[in-house]
Amino acid sequence: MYLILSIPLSLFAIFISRKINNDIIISIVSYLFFFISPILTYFGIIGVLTGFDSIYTSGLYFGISFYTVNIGYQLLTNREIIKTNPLKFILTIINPLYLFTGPFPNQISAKFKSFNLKIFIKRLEIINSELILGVFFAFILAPSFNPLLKLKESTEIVDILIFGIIFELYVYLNFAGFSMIAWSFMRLFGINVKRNFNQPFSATSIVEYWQRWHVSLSYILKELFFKKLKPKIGIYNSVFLVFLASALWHGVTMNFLIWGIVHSLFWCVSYYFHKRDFKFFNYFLLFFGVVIGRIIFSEINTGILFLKFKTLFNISQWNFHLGSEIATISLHNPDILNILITIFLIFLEITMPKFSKSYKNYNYLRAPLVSTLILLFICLSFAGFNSNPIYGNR
Amino acid sequence: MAIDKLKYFNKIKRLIILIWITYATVFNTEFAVYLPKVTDYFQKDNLEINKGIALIGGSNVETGLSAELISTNFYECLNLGISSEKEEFSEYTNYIKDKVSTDLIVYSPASIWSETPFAKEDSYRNSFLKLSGYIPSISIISQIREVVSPSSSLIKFNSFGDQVGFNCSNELFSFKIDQQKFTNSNDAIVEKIIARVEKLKGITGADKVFIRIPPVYAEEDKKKLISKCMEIRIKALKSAGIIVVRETIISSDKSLFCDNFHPNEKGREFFSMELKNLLQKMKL
Repeated sequence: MYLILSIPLSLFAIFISRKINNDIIISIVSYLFFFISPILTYFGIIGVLTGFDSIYTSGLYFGISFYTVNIGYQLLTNREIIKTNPLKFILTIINPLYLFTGPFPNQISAKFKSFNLKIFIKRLEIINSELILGVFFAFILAPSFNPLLKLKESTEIVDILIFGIIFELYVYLNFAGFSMIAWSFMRLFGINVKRNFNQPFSATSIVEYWQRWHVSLSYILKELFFKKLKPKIGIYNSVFLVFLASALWHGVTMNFLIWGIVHSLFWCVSYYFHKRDFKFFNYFLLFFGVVIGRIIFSEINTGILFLKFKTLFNISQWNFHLGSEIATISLHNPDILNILITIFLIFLEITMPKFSKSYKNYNYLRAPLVSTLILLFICLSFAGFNSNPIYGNR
Repeated sequence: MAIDKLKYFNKIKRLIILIWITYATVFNTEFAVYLPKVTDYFQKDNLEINKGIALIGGSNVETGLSAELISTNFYECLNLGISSEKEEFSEYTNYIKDKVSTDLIVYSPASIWSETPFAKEDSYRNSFLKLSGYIPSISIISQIREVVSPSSSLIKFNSFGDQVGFNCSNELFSFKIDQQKFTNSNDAIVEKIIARVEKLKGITGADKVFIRIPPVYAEEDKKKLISKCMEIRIKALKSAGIIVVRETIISSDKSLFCDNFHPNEKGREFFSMELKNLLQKMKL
């Protein structure tokens, strides 16, 4: 179904690239492509990306937020390839692997080789560890957080804070896991794309966090907005507008507007501290920004969101007993085990790079022995495909 | 050295995957040990009903109705809902045939919400194969636990056949509430249900077998379409002479459900009272 829209839009981009030589018009069209998703969200045709709300109303819009951004980006940066090899461009845009969770492709594939089984098997020997890790994150660990997500309904302070942390971990495991799976398949077929996640919790500041989280979108936002705006309006204003664009891409709703403003503020303060070497403050901002940001991200109902803010920031009313909602949650033993494993993995992610800079791109989890143990764990505990991409399909 | 190590571990990985595929194959055969229903049968084994109302059906009855609530100041009522009734109907009817000798049965068939007819009747493993693409829905660890310590998974039931406390397993279903994706009205499903009603009458001797539509969760904008499709099935059931007990069939109130098909504790109370009020109005 998604081809009904994606192919004509790609053809339109090809037409524009061939017929129009004016850079300004090309840029305007590129940005219009970027803003197709926000416009559709505004009119309720596609859903917002809170992780809880419906994604799209018709199969026609499957993956639209991914491929429209991709078309806009490619039109702005790879116009010559679109002109000279439109088929490659269309095949890159409609590649279904890009559409259900990302990552966005950073280039139009240089060449499409015919399938070679020997090369495929050779790649599989190396890439399987990334695939295993993706399945482990998305299908084993992430679903164990599901019962805890009902904490979203609570407006009690402990519940709100625990939900912020839990939901951040859930989105991370789900989104990073599916991204790893998509990335692995693309690499198996020789398509070169950026990894979407690079140990975001290894970051030492919120600035670094955003260099490690949803890397492919950050890269496109940098190319489309930041690089163009920075020389004209300075770094802080550019960052503000980049976060605003990112917020609109997620959904044209009040919570995402607040989310964009809050994160850009945290980014700017963190950048200021980074310049002055106030590392401790940056750790604090990182934790606070991520948790508060995730609470804002999840709540589309502005009334409830403000009620949660009121609870969080009204110090005189702080009451740190366990919330009523958390008391109603019962977890199965395998879920508890998986949550403990997640906490251990996050601990590793935070601490490992402190010992050595060589621990990056989850290579300590992709080591042959560790990867084999993870596969064994998956095979023992796999209980079905009960996980959907939280970010995908829109 | 590093390449040798990689190759060595890749061999082990291949072996693990091979064992897993073997497990999936064995799981699909009669050797499968995943039978949580057995524990339910065992628990409800001493229950039987000679008068009043027998509530029968699958997990939506087991978790989503309270016979105790319905019985209060009303007819005696017994909850004989057992998980997977839909997939193992023959086994289920064997189970209830000696337990139900009342005249009135309220049957909540989960299959009324099915998109397509069953590939092969009563074949849980077949539907498992079809649904999950030959991948076991229940983990090896669960299987081992089931063998080593079967009592750990026992759900307690009271004398009304209701669950003690509340347990809505998310082992098979995600907590995330998906909308019911029921978008067509397939006559074959209705025919299957009519056949089941006849079979129930035959084995229990009940005069009346009412069909109750198990309530499901759906988003507000989908309710109209789903409701329209269900109305066609209800109409077909009615024209076959079956009494359909209808209360809420689709709700957009998330607070009543633990997933798209199973009411939570609040929902259990709500839907039980709804059913009771309806039965009271019918002056049985």
